[in-house]
Amino acid sequence: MPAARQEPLFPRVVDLVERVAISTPPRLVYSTQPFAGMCSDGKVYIIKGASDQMIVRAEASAYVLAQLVGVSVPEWSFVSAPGHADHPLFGSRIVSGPRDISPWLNNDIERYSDVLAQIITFDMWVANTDRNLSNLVGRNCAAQTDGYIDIVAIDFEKSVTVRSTTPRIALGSITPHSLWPRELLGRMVCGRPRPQNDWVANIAGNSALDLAPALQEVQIALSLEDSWLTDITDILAHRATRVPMMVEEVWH
Amino acid sequence: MALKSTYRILRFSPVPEFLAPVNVALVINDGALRVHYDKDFRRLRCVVPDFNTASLSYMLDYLGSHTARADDEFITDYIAGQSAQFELTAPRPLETSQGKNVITVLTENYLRQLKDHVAILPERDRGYIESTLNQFILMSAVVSKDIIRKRAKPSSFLRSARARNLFHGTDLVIKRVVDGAHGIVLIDGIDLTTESIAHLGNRTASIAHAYYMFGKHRKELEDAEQRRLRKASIVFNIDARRTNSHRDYFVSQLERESDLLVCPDDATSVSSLKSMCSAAVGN
Repeated sequence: MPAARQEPLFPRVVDLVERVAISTPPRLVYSTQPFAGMCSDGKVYIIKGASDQMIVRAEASAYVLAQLVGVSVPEWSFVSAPGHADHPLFGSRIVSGPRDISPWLNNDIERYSDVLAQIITFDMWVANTDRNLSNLVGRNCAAQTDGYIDIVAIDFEKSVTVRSTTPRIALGSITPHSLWPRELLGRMVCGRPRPQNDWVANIAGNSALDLAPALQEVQIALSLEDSWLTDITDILAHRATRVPMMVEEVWH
Repeated sequence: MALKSTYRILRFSPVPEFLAPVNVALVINDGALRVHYDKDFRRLRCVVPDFNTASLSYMLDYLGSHTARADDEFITDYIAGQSAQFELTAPRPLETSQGKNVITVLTENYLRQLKDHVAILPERDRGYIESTLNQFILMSAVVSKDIIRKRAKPSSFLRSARARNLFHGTDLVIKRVVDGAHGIVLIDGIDLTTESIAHLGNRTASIAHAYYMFGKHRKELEDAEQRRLRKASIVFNIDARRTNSHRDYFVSQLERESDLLVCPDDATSVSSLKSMCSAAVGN
């Protein structure tokens, strides 16, 4: 059981002010059925989880963990929306930049292989079974005039540790190799250097006590029981200790 | 049979969920396939003036470097398999018989040339609607320009800390605010002849959102400021709403969030705005 809860956190929650019509041109693929909304902080979010609270739980949990260890994710918030009084939804901002980063990876994979290795390692930790090119986007760097981008990871709703209702059972059938990126991305990063040791240690060193404050925001926002927080921090802490072994196995 | 020369227009949307794609490059096939673009990206900058085009240039250079094969099908398949931000027109015949520099003509027509009122935008930039608004307010509002705040954030016209705290952390900006001793009048507006529906929609959403936020906190704000709050929206060329359901919707959005909808051609609504501003000043 984590230490006694600290002073209550106030989860970031914005109100949905107005739905914004979005178009879905060909090749714009969303794995769920999100919608867009202008929210009370004046920003437009892509909003998920209207039909399934587990999506909200998975995305929010993964985002707080990503921010905890330093993986770039979009700006995000819980969204309180009319007609969804039972749970808030998950909103993420659209990242300004290219949706398809393959030109950058094809041209200069060395420049990006470190950050890709970090994202893959993080995905192994949270058991994200669906990493591919379409859920990595580019962020324009204001300081860069040569067109180089930062890589931002999105879409963690299939992360087993935070999505499954029985993660201990579900994780038992997932091998580290099955968490390698799929399709073209997997081929692009094959043979690239493994993540730096300090990055691996950055994840491996997280105890349940370290994780609890970040995940409490999710617990409070979604009105989850203390038992959820206890379970999830235990699972993630235990899995974190196994990350070095998984990295070794996959990158060997 | 000689291979016909063709060209295609490549369009790009920074945010395909919200913004229609805009012409950014030509894909020329006159025996060698190449991508030609103008680094000014004039049309794109009309829609998103501060868009960082460095990464777009990078993508277009990459595309150009991968089109060595003189095969239209290749470029189609390549675009089709890539980002949802790009769109490619069907091939069009490239007439080379006139003796002119055809690429220069195509570049001018499809990448650089802008229609009359849109052409004004790069020079006036975002000030186009603003200068029109400014002129109208100064002529109509019968208040001194000294108390009209321009592009005002809440902190610039709300005097009490309690009122300012209501909007802490937001990035609301109102084009014009009459900051009177007895009242505050928020004034913003749209021009329905703006060509880009997406641009107009974004503008409308921005105003509607800001007005919603002020409306939500109206009572607390008025209590804290001891001044009355009023919100006015100006719609230029409102007749255009009848020609298009989008424009009609935008006007209805502003009507919903405003205390007063003003049409410059409607003497009654202009008179109401004058009264509103006079009351704010205390005349």
